[in-house]
Amino acid sequence: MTADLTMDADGGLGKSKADLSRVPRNSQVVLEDLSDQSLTAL
Amino acid sequence: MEVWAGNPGAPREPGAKEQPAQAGDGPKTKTVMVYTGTGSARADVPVPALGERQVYWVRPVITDGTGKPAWVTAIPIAPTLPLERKAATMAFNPLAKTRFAARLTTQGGFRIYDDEGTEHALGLDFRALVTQTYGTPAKTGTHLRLGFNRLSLDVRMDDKPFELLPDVRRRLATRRS
Repeated sequence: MTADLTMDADGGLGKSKADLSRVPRNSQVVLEDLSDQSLTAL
Repeated sequence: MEVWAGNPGAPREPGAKEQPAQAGDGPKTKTVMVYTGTGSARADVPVPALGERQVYWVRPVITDGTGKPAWVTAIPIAPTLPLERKAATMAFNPLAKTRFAARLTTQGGFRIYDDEGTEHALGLDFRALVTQTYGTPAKTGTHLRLGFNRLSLDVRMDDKPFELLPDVRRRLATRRS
């Protein structure tokens, strides 16, 4: 599982998008929620 | 206000007359401070250049209501580094193509109720080892790729470990990247 983010020039978090394309399909449902939670925490 | 450059030494005595210069004293700079009866007075006081190991000597001279002046005790003031205000830009500037590792923990706490209305505390702690790889900084921002590894989810019910369903645990452990 990976995620692509953009850090603004001042160091703040800009856009973020999780990439689950390399995660097995039957695991994506579980990891999608965890990914969203992690990016929100970041 | 009298200010001059001189050698370090003990404070010099006050007096009703201007005190004579001592060995090593430079010329005095005299600045008039206008007192308006508010309890204090302010003025920009020019200071002379200091020689090696010299200090500033400062002596206020106060004139009372009858016009009688009094030379207050002169004190030495050791010079400090002058401050120069300069504008500076503070910017986030990570090293491109550099990879960092971090441990990420998100803790979740919930209160849930069962069918009988009894309250329970549910804790969900998600942990991951995160690798961060920065791209080349640009004016619009810096690209950052996060890789999540070693995912784990700890579930507690009423502060006691709660076993995840085997299927969920297996899905968390499955990883290809």
